[in-house]
Amino acid sequence: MAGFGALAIFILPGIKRLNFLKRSYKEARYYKALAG
Amino acid sequence: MKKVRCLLCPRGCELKEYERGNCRSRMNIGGKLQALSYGKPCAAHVDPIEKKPFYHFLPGSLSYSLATAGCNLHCLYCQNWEISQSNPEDTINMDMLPEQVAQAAMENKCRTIACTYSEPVVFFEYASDIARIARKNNILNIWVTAGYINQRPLEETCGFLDAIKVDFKGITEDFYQNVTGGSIGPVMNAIKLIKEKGVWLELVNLIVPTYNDTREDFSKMCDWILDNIGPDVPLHFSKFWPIYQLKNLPPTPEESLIAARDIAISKGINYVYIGNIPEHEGNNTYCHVCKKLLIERLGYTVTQNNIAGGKCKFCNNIIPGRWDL
Repeated sequence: MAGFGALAIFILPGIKRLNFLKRSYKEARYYKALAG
Repeated sequence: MKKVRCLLCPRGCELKEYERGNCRSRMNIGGKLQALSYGKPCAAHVDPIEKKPFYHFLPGSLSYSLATAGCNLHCLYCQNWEISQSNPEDTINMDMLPEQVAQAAMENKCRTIACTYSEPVVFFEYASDIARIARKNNILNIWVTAGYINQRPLEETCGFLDAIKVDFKGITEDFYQNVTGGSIGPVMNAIKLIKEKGVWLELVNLIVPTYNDTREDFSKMCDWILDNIGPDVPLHFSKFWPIYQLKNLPPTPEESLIAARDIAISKGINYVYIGNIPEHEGNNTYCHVCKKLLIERLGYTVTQNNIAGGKCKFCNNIIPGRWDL
């Protein structure tokens, strides 16, 4: 049961977030890179 | 570690790699600031334009209305907090490229595309690409915004928009800081710039009991409007419903809305409305010269329109706004 709990609470949202973050995005228009 | 600073809104978030901005929808990925919600609306509906509310812009027309997750303010009473206070990866999103949004607007016979519900400023790139394609297809573009945006991006925005409704949430810095998490100065600057650029502008003030509902508040707001953008910008006073973090408050009493409208009219603002009270005369438009009924509204429906060619049918006075479809 604890395995299912961990799957639901940590692993699935984590996979969802990783999938989201590895997509390609549109670069924002108004920003600047900071030195250092 | 390549840091970036977002220059879109007055917050100026400084972000380390994989850090996201206060708006939740921009992230530093590999030293580049990426708009996370581009092409991913979490809401898209066909609405009457009166719902935005715009009362002096194409009355009786439909608006293809969409939003993505995120907002750069955090109002305690946000009516759409489920999407405005969420990360883009946590909402249920559609895949819609700007071309598809314009196509959907045409298929639904919408005269405008409205970026609304959350905050268009935080999906600036998506909204601007939509607007450029919409214009090529003879669709107009409107924003419903809190106006918390820097001058340069706002100048660009004014170039691709036809109308903007700004939520002028309060008239004191205290209100902005304590209730919205923002600051009033940039909003005032935005309102003045929009007016100066000639984009059609309407203002909404949501009256929140005990927070921004004194006669002094109404009076100060009207004075600021008259001094800075003149008497012809329509002003809507809107009713608050207890929601999100202000569930402890009662809804705005009708008397407060009426008092606010009376003060605004007595000070010389020409077009003042009351929102969220159906059948009240404050929903209608009256000619500010001859005082006759021009547009009668029942809820979001226009039941009578006595404006022809942008003029009052009775006295021929020019009525500010954009009236012809």
